[in-house]
Amino acid sequence: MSVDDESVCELTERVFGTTLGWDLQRGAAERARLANERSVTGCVHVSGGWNGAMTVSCGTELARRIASAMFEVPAEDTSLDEVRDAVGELANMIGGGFKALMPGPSTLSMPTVAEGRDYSLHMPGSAVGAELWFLREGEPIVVRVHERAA
Amino acid sequence: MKILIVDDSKAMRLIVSRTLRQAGFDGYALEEATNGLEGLAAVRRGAPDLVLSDWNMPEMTGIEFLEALGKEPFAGKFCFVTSESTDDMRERAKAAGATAFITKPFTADVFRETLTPLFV
Repeated sequence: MSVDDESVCELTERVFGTTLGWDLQRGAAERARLANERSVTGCVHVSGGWNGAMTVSCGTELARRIASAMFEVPAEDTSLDEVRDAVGELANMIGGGFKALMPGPSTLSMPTVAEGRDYSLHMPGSAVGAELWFLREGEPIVVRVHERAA
Repeated sequence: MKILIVDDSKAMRLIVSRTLRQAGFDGYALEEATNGLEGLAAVRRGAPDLVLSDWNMPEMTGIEFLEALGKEPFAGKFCFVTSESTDDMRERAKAAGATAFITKPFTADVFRETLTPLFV
């Protein structure tokens, strides 16, 4: 079953809207910036009826604002652990919703989170089935669906 | 009245606590645990009236926690609050004794509609 971009977009918008009260714009205008700054990526894997992974990435400063909204503390006071927790939980919610859209039964992994500059995530045997860009106050967020061949 | 929140994410425990307040459940004593094993210990220390538990957690998952509670003298209600909501998970949860199921992301309205009947 192929990935339905619109469903993933709606799911992502619902997770950000309900959890953070944020409206996301769809767009890829700032995609180059994300490659050049420190960023955070949350990842969950799905195994079973559908196999692959879902990642959500954004710049570290935006990730601090995500943690700020979740923890109700100023962004500059958020710790890296809180940032990781917040982005991991977003990946978990988007991944859990995505899993429900795909053939099952499947299991969802615990989220893993990477933070830094100039890194890449490689998932052997998988290809990016969807790459969806969003903007929050001009800052890019990208959700990728990595689909593993059956 | 006591509510036990079990989730490995500190952010989600805060969000659940905040949503409980927004939904009108602000007079309850809240306790937190970070996985099923800690949740089980918290229940043994003092049984809560309601457990709100994630499913996917390290050490002991939510469903393992619920199944363990089935062997304890626990008479409270148990509600999953999880990002996973497939039919087979709901059926397994119900068979193990779960009273309700809330899917993340959630709103205060969902908490109110789901949890209010549990306290009638």
